[in-house]
Amino acid sequence: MIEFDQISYFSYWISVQAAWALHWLRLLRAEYFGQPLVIKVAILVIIGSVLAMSVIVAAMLWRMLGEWRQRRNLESVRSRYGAKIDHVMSDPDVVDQNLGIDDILEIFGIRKGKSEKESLQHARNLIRSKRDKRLFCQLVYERLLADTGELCSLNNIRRMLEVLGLYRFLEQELDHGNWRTKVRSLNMMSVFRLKVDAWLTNALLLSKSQTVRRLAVHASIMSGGDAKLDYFESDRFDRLCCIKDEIELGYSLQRRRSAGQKLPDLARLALLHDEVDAQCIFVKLMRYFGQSEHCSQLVDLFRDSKDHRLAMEIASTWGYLKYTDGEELLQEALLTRSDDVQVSFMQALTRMDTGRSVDALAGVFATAASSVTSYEALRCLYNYGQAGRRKFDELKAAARDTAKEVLFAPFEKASMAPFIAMDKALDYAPAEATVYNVHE
Amino acid sequence: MNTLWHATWYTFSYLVFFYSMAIMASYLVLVWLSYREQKRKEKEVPDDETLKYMLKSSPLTPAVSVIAPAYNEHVNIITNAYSLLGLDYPSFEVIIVNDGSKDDTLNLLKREFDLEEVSLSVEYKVPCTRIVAVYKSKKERFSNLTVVDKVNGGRKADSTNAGINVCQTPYFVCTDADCIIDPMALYRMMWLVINSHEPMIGVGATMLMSNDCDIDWVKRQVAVTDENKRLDDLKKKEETADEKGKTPSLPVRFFDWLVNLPVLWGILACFQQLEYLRSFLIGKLGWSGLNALPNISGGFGLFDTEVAISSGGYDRTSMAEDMDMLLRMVTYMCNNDLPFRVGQVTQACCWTKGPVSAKGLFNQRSRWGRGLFEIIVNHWEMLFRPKYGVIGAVTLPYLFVFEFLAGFIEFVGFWYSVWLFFHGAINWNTFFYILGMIYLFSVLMTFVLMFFDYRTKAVLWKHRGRRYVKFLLLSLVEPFYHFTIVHITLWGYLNYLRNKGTVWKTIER
Repeated sequence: MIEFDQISYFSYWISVQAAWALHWLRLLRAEYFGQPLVIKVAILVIIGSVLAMSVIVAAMLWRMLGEWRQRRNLESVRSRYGAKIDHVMSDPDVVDQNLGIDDILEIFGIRKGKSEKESLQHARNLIRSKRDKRLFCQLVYERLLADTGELCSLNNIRRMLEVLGLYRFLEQELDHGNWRTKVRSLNMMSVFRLKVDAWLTNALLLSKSQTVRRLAVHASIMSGGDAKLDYFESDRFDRLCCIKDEIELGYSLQRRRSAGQKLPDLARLALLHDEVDAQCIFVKLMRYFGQSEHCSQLVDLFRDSKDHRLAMEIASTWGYLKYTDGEELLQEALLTRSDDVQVSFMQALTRMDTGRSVDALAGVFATAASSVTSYEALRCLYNYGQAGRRKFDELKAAARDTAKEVLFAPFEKASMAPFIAMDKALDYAPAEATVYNVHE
Repeated sequence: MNTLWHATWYTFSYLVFFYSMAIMASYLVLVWLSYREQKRKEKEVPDDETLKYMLKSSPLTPAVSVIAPAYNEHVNIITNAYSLLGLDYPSFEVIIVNDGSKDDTLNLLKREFDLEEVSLSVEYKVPCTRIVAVYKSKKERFSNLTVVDKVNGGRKADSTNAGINVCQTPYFVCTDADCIIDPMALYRMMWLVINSHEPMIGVGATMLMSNDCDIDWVKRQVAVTDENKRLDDLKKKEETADEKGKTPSLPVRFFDWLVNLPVLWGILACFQQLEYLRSFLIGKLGWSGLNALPNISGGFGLFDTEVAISSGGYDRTSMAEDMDMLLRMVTYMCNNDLPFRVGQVTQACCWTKGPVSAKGLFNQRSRWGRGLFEIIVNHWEMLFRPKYGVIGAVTLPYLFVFEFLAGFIEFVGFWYSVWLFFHGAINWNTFFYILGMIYLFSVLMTFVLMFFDYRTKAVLWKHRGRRYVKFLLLSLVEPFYHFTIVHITLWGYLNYLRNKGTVWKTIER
């Protein structure tokens, strides 16, 4: 039993210590305020530096602890489920099969219920904590990226996630999580080819985080229907568009195409915007997705545009899509533009290959001030078919013993053939097969 | 008269004190800006695997040319060429510019990569000496290698301009042939480019010193090498053309022995490592958050080709050609009312070899000092002009006041203190408080640096703890190193005024 004397002595001792501390603080304060300005500032900086260093050390230790815990948890999930995930994703015996609920239950050692509903309930209770669910999805995601999808069955992965209740979990993360969680979930759902419901994507399109908005745009494109392209028609796209939009839109459209869905009218989208960057993106994608039926919509844009980049993109698109109605416009504008624009127009005329632009190309060769433009004109003539080759030979004969003769030298070397040839068609074909473009 | 003298020096002392307070405050602001920029990048930049696979999966990913000037690099050129060709990016070209090498650099390249001359028409969009020939490989797997042979221009800037003239891609990266580049570097830099609403005219990378590091690309870890191996390099003495055949005098030999002590060499490399990290993780990252980055390192930097050409490319006469070109690009964009951004990548992308001796360090830093003076003079019209954005209104004035003038102020302040010491006029109480303040602030900056490095995983050190302890210990003696650098920098200023030191010296390997 604690006696009253002990309590009163203890509180007396505390009060004495506090009084001493207060006394010293007052002395220090008096000492401090008695110092010149320079020393006062120096003392403040010293105390501030020491405090800041302590905070930094504490922050680093906290982060280290967090990372250690994260690693330990990931290892724990990996040891429990790693082999089973590998089995579902890339075991040669199952990769070509479509696994059913029972197969997933068997692989994960889950007890079957009396009905399918009960079995699914048991499956969803396998991984209980949110942390473990997150780590499980992360494991699958990393495994899929590491394998580039060659040996993985996306169907089986989706089935596994649905059976274990992780599809619903990812949706919940999208709905309720912070920006970091949303980005992670959106990336995963995109890679796993899981459909994101329209009501979710609409909410995500209004997110404050730019990254979340962008990923939501991609998800909404995959949902199908032109209505989901509202973002690309808005002035928000005007203000925010960048090269990444072009890349993301490109591969989203490719996935739509490979899924047999209708593609939007990209020319219409180009006309909706005033910003040149946005217009260039849509015009460029037109040629990758072969939308030749919409080329005529770009005529007014070509005539009225003051920006040389847009004119070059339209010309290039017309060339690849062989929009021959635009040939006259290109010929008219050919000699009035700068060198790089001329090159782009000449290449477009060559790709159209109607046989009616030989003189226009020869005209550029004759009048170009830059040797590079002259060389390009020759290259276009060389690739223009028989009429072009005849003109090329005529110009070569006429250029003998003149300064321009040297421009014909590369055409005589076999080693230059790859640099002289010109591609006539274009398709959306990525450099490498990755999990983002592997078709099912 | 005596009173006036005392009053002058008293006022000067207070000015120096408040000047140093202002520098400290500016560092704290940069720390805050850098932290803010790191948080922003965390939101925008995906993890490496996602980044790689997103960009690899699209034919629309912009292509990049990697331009690497080479002069008398026969020792390492093949290794370096392979390391550049081994970069991981969907569409890139390597352009090695042989700057009229007197050794076997070109022949080695021809043999190794089976090069043949191609008659590509080259337009001299930016000035450079005559391009003699352009070579491409006959082998399919080296189809993205281009070797340009040109007449020696005397400067790296000239070679890089030649590379720009041959470049066909919308972006180019300028690097040195001996730099070791992180395979993910192009992805990380291009991510900033494609993710920016405003045209990104330049992206800087974080550069580190490769001198005492082994870089394990499999695990992407950096570890300290066996230092005994490096002693052999130290023992090779640099001989200049003037001193060949002459025996150095005793003081020079003693100095050589002193500066080549292993521990001293190791310390020099570490000091520079610390400086680089501080510059990239705090200074440059902070400025990039305000779109006010004044300099992209010439060792590894990405630029918009069209803008670089429009602004005239690299200045072949400048000693700070990297900073000079970026400022001219900014001027071009501002004069034409075009929006732009200049970015900085957090994670380490490139390791370069730093000077291995005190003499090499001296040459480098005096050149940098000269370059800074040149920049201030050549771009004087940008200072304090909001027309040139935050770079003109804030960054360049900051550089002028806190970097350029700092040399003079610190020099005078230091020698004034020495004079006071010999006259017994030092107030020791004040002296120790101020010394304590400087030391603790320096150590605090090192702590901040370690925190940022740890937080961003800027460098994947193999033994992170040991590296941090080394940094902390070094920060205690760094003021001595710093004062040495101040004197070398002032020597560089003097060289500018005397118009001396205009030739690049050969770097020892």
